[in-house]
Amino acid sequence: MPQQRNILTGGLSLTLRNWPAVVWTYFFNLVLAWLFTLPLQKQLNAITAHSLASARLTGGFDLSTMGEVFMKLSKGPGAATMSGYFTTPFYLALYFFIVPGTLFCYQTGEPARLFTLLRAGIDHFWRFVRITLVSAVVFAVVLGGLSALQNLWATHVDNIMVGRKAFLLEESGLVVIGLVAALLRAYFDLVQVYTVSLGQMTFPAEDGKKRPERQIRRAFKPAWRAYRSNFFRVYLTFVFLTLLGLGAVVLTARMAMHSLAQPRVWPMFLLAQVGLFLMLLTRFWQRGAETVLALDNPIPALVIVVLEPAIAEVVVIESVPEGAAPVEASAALDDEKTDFTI
Amino acid sequence: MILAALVVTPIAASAQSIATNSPVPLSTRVTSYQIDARLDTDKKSLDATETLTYKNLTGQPITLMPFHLYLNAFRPQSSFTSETHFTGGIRDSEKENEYPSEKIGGITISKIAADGFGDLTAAMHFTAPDDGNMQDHTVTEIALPHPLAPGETITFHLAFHDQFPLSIARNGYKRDFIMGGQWYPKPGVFWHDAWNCHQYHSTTEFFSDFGTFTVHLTVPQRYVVGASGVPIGNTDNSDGTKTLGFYGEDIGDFAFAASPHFTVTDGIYNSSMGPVKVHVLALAAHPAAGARYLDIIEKTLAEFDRRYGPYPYKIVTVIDPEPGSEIGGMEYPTLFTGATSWYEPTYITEMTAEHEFGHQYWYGMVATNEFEDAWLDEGINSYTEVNVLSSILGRDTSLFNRPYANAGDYEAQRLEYALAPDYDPVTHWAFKFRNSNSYGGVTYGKTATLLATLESIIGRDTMDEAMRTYFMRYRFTHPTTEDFLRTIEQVAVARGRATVLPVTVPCAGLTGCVADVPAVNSSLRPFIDQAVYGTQVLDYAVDSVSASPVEWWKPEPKDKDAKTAYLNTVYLRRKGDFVLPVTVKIVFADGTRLREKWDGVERWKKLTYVRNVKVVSVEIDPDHAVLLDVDFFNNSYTTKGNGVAARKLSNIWASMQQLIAQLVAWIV
Repeated sequence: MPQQRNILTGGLSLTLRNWPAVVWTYFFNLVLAWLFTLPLQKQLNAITAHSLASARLTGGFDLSTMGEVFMKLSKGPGAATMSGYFTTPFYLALYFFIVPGTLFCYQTGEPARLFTLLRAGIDHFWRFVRITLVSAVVFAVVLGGLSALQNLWATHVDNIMVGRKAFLLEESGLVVIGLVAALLRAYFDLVQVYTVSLGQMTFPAEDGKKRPERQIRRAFKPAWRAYRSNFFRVYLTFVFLTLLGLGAVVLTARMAMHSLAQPRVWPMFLLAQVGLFLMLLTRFWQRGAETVLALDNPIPALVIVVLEPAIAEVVVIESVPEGAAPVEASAALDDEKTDFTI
Repeated sequence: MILAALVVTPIAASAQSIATNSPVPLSTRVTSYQIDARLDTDKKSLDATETLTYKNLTGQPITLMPFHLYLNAFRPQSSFTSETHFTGGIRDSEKENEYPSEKIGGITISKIAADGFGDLTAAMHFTAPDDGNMQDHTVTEIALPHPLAPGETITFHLAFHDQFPLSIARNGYKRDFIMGGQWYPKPGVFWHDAWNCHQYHSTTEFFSDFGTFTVHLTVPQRYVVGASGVPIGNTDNSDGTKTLGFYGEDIGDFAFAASPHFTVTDGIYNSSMGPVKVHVLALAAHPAAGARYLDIIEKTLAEFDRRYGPYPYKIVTVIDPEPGSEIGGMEYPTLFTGATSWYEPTYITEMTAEHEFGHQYWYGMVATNEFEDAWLDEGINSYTEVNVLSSILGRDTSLFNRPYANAGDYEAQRLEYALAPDYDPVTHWAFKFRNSNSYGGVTYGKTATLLATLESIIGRDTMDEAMRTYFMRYRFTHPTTEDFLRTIEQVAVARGRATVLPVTVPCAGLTGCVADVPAVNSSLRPFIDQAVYGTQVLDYAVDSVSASPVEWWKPEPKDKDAKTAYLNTVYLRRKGDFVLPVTVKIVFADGTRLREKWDGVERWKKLTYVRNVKVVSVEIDPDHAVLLDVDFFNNSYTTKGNGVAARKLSNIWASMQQLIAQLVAWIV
């Protein structure tokens, strides 16, 4: 009988135990952003540092003065602003290593050192790229269709009413899209968890050598089974944590905004970073919760009984307990018809 | 009861005016309109008959009459639509290579006749005086079978049909709201010995004579209507409609707006000429709008009365247009449209309302030619908008006012100008600008900024008196650029804020320069020539500041109390072509402040000071009077840097990049 641990608290526990994973990710998020902002800051400094006109930004926050600064920037070379846009692609690239590495540490109990994260990340890199591509296609099809419907809905509402009521009705479509996106994202998160789980198994390849399982398609069914049989637990936990993270960002951003007029930068900086860190933490917490669910719902055991050599061959495969070494898998995993238990 | 007292049934013309607080006519009433119109709110169309009486006060016989048919602009073949497509419009930009059928509008005159002249329907022909586009159809001419002698009157009888487009460029319908602007045939203006009747262009507005309007509009019972002039009647009809009557006098145009969703908020302002009803029709979906509009208009009325002169009409109607229409922020005599939303945390509602009310003065009463002198209404109005809003809402907070951030209208006007400062002079005809960005930046932003700079030069009191003189002298007439400028010069000279230069010259060959007042070759002319007639850009900069020991070959003394003589060198530079004398403030480490003057004629200037202390800061225009300077940041230099501003802005940028990166990473 599979365990039914509380995935919310279990996920938090797992995340906190592997806190370096979150910290390293946040570190890269922060460092990349500031690294690519440095040229912009240099240019802003050249404009404002020795000018009395910047007093309206130093001892307050005049939006028109800010507008004039950016107008001056736009008339200069654009490289400084352009470099700021590199943060996202670089971060995304790093994320492809950190996420599988984190899931590996969550499942195996290995300490989440940077080296471990990156090594496991390199090992799972292409699998996660393939999962992302598949999920991107699914997202595009499903959410694209929903977006088209949302546009029609918004146009219909706009044609018949205005005001706050119209706004709320129009935005309700976006809420639906968000909920469907969460539904899909939670499933593909589980696919990632099971991919890492399968990666710890080996099976005899065609050349007779044992290799770890690298087929991502073998993770879709177990993920689906776990998702379906624990749907409300997983989905509600996922949505709750998403809202928690977004709420943290919105709240801290609002507080940071209210410190714009101060003649110092560190309160605004600290508040923004707290919000961003909390949002990242909730994302890792989600993955921790999904990992707990996957561990409680491991890939099913296969029992194959050898009756007569000529009739059938059965190999016993047991589910991999947490922290245990990889075990042999049978090629019979490919064939549904041979799956049966004693 | 007060409202009833304001509006009386029509009586003999020699008695109290019906629509104004003046006992006598305020304008030369060239035209008199009587229009009976029926609005079909389902088909978004209108059928009407118009009786137009036109007095020939030109002093010449008239052999043809041009008429504006502005609604015909809303067709793909028109000059308006083509220009909007290729160079942008001020409200819409039909960049797509298709013109939606629902945006097609038009006006068709089915019949026109004139007493004593017969049926003139066949005599109508479209003309294109500006660009030769014979598909335009926004101007039609009628050749009269015999001349209309000077002093005589002609009465036209027209029947016409309007098809309103889906809202485009301040006209048309949106949902069940309909705006009737430029909806009836109106003649051009005989001005400076010729007919002035331009086609409708993407960046132009309108020009017409003063007169009276008696309009009866039949609409479905459920509709609430706001219109120019005062209401004079309301009759319920047996077919589920009602006929509303409106009367306006000493106005040059008539507009209306109809919606079943208006809520009424009324107030009374006691102007120096009498009570004025502020009649606000706000949408029910904007519950806070009525009170906001009423408040700002009452305050604006007070400011204009005090600064420039009285508002003479008995009513001003404020229309809150449908969201998503392009009908917000537009002016008509005694009526204008605002712009707001159910959630509006800035002062854009107030700014729009003040601006459109200001047009009652600059365009409505001082009825300049909006085709050829757009700056005289939009620009002057933007300048007075800045001053009026500063008085009401604060100079640096008139657009946005929160404890953590602020924005002022004057800086917004200046930035609008600085974005496209040197393509066109302010005096360009509205449809001759490089594109809509240049039109907007120069007509609105540059004019506001140059007049604010002029105000700094001659003083606030002198400028206020000049503006008041200009309004009182030219209201209910059609003044020109030079009328305005010479008025300012006259007042400035009279108050000792400008001098008359030896040689008095006429307009000096400037295109279209016609004025009713003699030329004044004042000391303000160099500024006027550059700022108004020219495209020179004003940009002064502190190029460098340095302080070196005079005896530079000797080592720095180790004793801090030892006095060292420093050679402080300051280089100033005129980066732009606009020459204007400026003041420079130099501050030394011991607190000494010096003010120098620089005429700005040479490209650069060197200032040197030998003192025992170093310069700590240099600032050109320390009083912040020269708003025309396109770059405030290079106007000053401090030897001690302060990186807070750069760090604040960088922090905002970097945090946004972090957030975006995290959100994008959800795809993994």
